[in-house]
Amino acid sequence: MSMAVELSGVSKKYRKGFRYRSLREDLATVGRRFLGRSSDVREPRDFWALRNLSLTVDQGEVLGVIGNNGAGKTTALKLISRISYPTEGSIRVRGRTASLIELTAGMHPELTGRDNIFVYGAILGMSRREMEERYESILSFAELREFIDMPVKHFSTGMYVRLGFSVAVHTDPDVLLVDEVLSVGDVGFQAKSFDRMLRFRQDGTTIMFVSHNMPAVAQICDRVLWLEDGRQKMLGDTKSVLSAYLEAQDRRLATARSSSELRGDDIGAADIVIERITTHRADGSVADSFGYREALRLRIHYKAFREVRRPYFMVGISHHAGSLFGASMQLDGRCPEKVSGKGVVELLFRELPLLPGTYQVIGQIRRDVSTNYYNPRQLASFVVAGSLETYGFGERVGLGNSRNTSPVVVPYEWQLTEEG
Amino acid sequence: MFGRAGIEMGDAGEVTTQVYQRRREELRLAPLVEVSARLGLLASLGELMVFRGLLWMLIVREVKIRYSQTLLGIGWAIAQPLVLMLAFTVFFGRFAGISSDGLPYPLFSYAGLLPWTFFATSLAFGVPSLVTNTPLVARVYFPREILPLASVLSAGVDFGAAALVYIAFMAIYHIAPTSVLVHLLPLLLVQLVLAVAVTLALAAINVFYRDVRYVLPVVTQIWLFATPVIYPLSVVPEGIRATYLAINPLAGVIDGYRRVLAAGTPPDMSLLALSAVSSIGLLIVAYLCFKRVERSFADVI
Repeated sequence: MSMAVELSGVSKKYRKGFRYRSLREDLATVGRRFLGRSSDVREPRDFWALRNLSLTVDQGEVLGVIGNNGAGKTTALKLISRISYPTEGSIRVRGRTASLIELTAGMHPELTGRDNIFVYGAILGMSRREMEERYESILSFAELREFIDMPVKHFSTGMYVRLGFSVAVHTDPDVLLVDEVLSVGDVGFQAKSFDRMLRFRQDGTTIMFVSHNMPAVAQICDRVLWLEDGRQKMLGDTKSVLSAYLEAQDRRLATARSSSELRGDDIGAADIVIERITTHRADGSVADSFGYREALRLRIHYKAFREVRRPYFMVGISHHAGSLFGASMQLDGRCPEKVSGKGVVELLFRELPLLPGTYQVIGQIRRDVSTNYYNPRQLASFVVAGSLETYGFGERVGLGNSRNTSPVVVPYEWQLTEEG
Repeated sequence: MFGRAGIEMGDAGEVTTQVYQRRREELRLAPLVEVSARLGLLASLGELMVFRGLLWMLIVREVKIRYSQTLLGIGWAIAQPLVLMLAFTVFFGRFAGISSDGLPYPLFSYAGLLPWTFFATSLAFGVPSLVTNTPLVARVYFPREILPLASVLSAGVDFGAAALVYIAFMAIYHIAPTSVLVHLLPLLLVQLVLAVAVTLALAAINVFYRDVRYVLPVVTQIWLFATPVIYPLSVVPEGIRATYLAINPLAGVIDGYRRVLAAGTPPDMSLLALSAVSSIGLLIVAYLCFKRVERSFADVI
């Protein structure tokens, strides 16, 4: 395997506190220096967004980049895509880079969709001829054919994003940089973009994937880089980095109360937190892989920092296509009168009506209709394994096709009645 | 770089997997390119060539946008110098009695206003071009000089439209189209070089110091007075004329236009050469400085 991206000793320094200078400030600085009174000059504080990052990504590899906000994930992508330049170190890339960082940056509201396709293509380094070859394909992917001669200022946000995404994925990149695009647009579009990523991967495109969506990272990444405060915290196979990261997140949450590191809007009121959710079979044994229509038992481990009255536990099962189903004490009213200290709430789904795939478990504790003790957070994931044929579906239906449909299966039967 | 495999489209318009695989094989032989490296002058120009399609697109985009939702459309490009010409003729030609070296004042002022309007429009759109396109600069890679360049060249489209009025002048003043008009070509080139140089420099400074926004209208106004648009070059005292021309290369260009368009004589070649040398020098310095500071645009914009 040859290398596609190589970072050696890359650091990036930003000046904190102000974005652009005014001439007055700079003249004042020069003036004071000239007069020899430099002591009271307020130098802007430096801020290192990345510190000494070295990394190689092989051709065809999918590297996930995770970390908290401000860890340097986006900065890393910006440096690789030459939007910004490293303060120290060097970056080498093989082939053409495309970034799904900002999908609508090149759009101009006054121009028609058609004009914008060509302008955006040119911005991404495509020639007019290449864009003409791809024009039809871009149109059908974006599903905007009937609006294409309309100025895009009349487009909805979703239409903007679809157009931008459609152009970006048609630029035939060798290295694809993806930054949280899976979180924009509607659910259908998110599923579509995820599929497109899988396709790029299958075609051997090198991908760097920045995301907070851990199940998505788990599903498509070969390796994961965990950044913390601009430094490499961990780099390794997806499974071990993700579990270390999630563990650290849990620890952070557990200590959050005492260190008051997290504010209310980050985790909720935080009188009570969910420490973790574990997945089990009906018999209580720990498992992370289940069969179609098998039972799923969830154990919600909570910790209350004081006596909490009527915490409404809520659990949602979701998929990259969106939220599927769940259980809510606010709906069924079966909530404990009060809890304190540590404890476990058990939840049993008697059967999982799910097609094979990866699913996420979201936990949340509500206080009332509008406020949370504990904000919704993804706390576990599990896999439904096996192929569709074993479930009695026709053999022509593959896994790839099931991705575009809803993964929930309610038993059904067809009936054909011919009239006349 | 490396050759790109042909793309075959399937029914659904998807690029087929085999093509991709072939392409990956090809890519394995391609060199790793240090994307963080500073580019020299030649490499920068090469990069600019790669993105010439984008330059063209942005010119078209700018012209379209500039006149969308306006009543006159591109007619404004003609109306602006025409209205100024009328005003100049009344106030400076008639009332103030400013010399036009014996030429009809409308023709005299139009020949000066044509290149001046191009220059002023270039600055007005080109200097803020990087800042007005902040989303692009902050989020997408491309050689940044393309934005001010597109503004200058789209001002060239206006210039072309405004130049059509000269045909009407030829009919009114019975000017025969002669070979003297060939001299417009070098004039055009020097004018373009100068406009690009000044726009690049000011556009880059504008990214760091937004003060430029307030300084620009004043500078443009003073520059108009310091350039022989309202008055002929001959009123500048002979003793300081060489210094004057060296400091303001635009003066030589405008005097050249006036000679060719209004008087029907070739431009003063020594004046034009002086303008050309200082314009080209200015462009090289401006471009090198621009490429030097360009790397931090996305960080500060």
